[in-house]
Amino acid sequence: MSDNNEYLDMFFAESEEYIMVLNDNILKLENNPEDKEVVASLFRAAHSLKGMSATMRFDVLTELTHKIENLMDKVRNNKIDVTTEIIDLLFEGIDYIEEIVKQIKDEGTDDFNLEVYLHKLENNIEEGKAHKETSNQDIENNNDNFDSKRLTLNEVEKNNIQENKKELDTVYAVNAELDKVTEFKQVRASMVLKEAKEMGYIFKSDPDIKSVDEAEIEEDVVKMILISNENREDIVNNLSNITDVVAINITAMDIESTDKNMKSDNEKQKAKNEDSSSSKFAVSSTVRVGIKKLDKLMNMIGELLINKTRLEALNINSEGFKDILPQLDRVTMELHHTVMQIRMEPIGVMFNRFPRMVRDLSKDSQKEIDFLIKGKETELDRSIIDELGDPLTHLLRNAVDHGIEKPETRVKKGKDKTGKIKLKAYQKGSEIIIEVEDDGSGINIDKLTAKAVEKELITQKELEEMDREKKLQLIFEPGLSTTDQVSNVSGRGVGMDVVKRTIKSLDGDVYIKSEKEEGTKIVISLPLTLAIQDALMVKIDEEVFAIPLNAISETLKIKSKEIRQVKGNDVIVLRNETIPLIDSRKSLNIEVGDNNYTEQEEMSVVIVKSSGKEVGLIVNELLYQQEIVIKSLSDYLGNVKNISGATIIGDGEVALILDVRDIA
Amino acid sequence: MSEKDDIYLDKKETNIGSLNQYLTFKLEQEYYGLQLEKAKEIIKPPKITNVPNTPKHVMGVINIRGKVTPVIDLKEKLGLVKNHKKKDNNKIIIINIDGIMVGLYIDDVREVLSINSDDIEKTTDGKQSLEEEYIKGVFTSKGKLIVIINIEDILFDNNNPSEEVKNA
Repeated sequence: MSDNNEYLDMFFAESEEYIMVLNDNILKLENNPEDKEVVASLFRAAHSLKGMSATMRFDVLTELTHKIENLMDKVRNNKIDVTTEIIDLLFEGIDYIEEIVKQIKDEGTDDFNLEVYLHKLENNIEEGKAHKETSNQDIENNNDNFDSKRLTLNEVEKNNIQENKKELDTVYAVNAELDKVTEFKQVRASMVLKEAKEMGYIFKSDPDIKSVDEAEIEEDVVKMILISNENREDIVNNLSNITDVVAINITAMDIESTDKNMKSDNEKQKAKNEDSSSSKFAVSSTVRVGIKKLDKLMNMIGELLINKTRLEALNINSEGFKDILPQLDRVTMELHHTVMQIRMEPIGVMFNRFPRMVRDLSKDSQKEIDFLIKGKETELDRSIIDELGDPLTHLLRNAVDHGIEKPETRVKKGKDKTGKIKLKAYQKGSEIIIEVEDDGSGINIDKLTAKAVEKELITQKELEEMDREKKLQLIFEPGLSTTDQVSNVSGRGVGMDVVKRTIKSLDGDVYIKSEKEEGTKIVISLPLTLAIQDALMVKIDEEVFAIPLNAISETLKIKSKEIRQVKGNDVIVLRNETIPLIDSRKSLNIEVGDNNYTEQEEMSVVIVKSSGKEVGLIVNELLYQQEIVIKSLSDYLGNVKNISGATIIGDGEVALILDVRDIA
Repeated sequence: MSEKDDIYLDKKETNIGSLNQYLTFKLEQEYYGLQLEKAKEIIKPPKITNVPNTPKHVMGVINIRGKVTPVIDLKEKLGLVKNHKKKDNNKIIIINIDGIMVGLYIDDVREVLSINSDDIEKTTDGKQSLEEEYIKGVFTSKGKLIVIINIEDILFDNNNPSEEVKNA
């Protein structure tokens, strides 16, 4: 096959998904060995992977997946019981698949020594005695119930073929039936046609080659008239090696006769026992796009938005202009929201790798652990999800390794012998919260602080001034560990500082709560850093500032006589709530001089949520509401107090975005 | 910002043998030069948005084709006395250092000089009021002393006395 390369990316994308499905289902199987649905899912995933590998000519991978498929077949037919041994064997197999795929990616070859593993697998398969060979190479002569509406030829076409075909050529009517649940019909159909083309000349086909390359197709069957000098078996074999081709129906046509006299031998190849109505994969149809491309797209939409704003500011007095603007507005908005959605992914895509990891870790350390995941559907910007993988891996490892005690220890302490680790994600206002909680032994504060002093991270005097809460956070300092034993799993507490650094770099925060013998909870909060937000534009001193709308609860105008004094601070009373007033100019270090706001008759106040409470921010003028494109304030300036970024406004100038989170 | 007045610098052949090209500019009455390859473009100053809670030498930020770019008052950063009033000649040189864009606010741009590295004298005679670590050397052209500055060190040095946060 000559066009393998263009399918390689598709191969990687698909294998990643199948590996995920396999991992997921093996975990399910372990908890529920009798679940036939799960077994069927596993079988199908292994089968599809095998087909794909065969198509791409990755022989080692084909053999491996073939053996796994066989094993699953035995399980499915109750020839083999699902034991821990089988589960481990399967997991090991998946690891190999993953490794081989990675090797293909890196080196382009699946050359891999699997002898030991395959031998093990073989032994297990042998145990399930007397079974019939279960490869999809089995050709079943199944004349019934196949939708065999072949393409037919009219007299003109027949004459045409007769004149052009060579002596040794045979005219075949070929129908290739595709797996109804495949997500990649178009690609499969294209592969079928391309493969057929290698073997001869496609006189006509449905769908035709052009439409396959250009548009989505609905058909489950690729029909064609193929003129070829290959024999029938070779054609069947070549075509059935293509992934998701479940059946080939081929008939030699006698072009001198009418359709009804077609030779009636009908060969049908079908991957055995496919039960396509049950257990569809939980694999979504996806296109993998580099996050950089998405960033670029986002930037360009940002530019578009800025230019749209500038265009609006021109305020041209013409009918056409006024007609076009709302439309431009709508298109830009939709474009923006679509790209935002593309960037958002459920955090579950990343969480999915953890059950397997926790299982392996707990096995290695001989601990019994219940691992719970909540809030998989919580959506986060893709680039943030990508960054979270490592820190969460680390936190979970710590929880297993340092947190949860061995069963006997837990029993001695009067705890349930099975430890619990909870991974939870949820949205809270404009933040995403991720919690990693265990009911293990908790952090030993005395040990932690002693080490911190020993390593000269803090002085004894500083320590005495710290409260319990603060002391706990020392764990995020570099080089601190609470376990005396070195473990190969999570090292010696190394990396908590890296966790903190990563989260900080995402503009988030992390803190730890822990009670001795009760457990540890690590809470990560991440801002929903969206690249485009609605904002209220205000004037402070003579500059325009943007305040993100999600930080604002309301705006109002107050008279100076409404201002009260509490403990020497200005406040207003709003619906029986006392809200402190803050002069925005002071927060921004702008010289106020004698120009105190209380001397004004009327003032504009923006009520914002800051550090969990509401405060009234006094500004010079409320301007208008606008969508803003958030840009970083330049790496050169770093973090600037009370400024979270910048945006470009209508006249092409830069306006700063107020960060009200810590303004109070 | 009118792009017509902007000078886009052609960076081809900035290095000819041991010859390096330097962009020379004026701060007060003194002449300075920096490596041409560091400079991206020269623009007339647009309206600069003041950024509060930043060091005094940060004049603010401007929009360079959608990129928020800080503008540094080079005189303030170097601790020079400021007598020069704002004039039409004022320019901003956009510098690109490892992808970070920074604008330098200067009094006027002079010319591009090809200077043989051997002709740059390492010794300074105290004529300029700059700290030595910022200076690569001096060069004399047409009777005028040009101080070749090390712009990277200047921009990324954090022990500068003028770092205190401004009260704009």
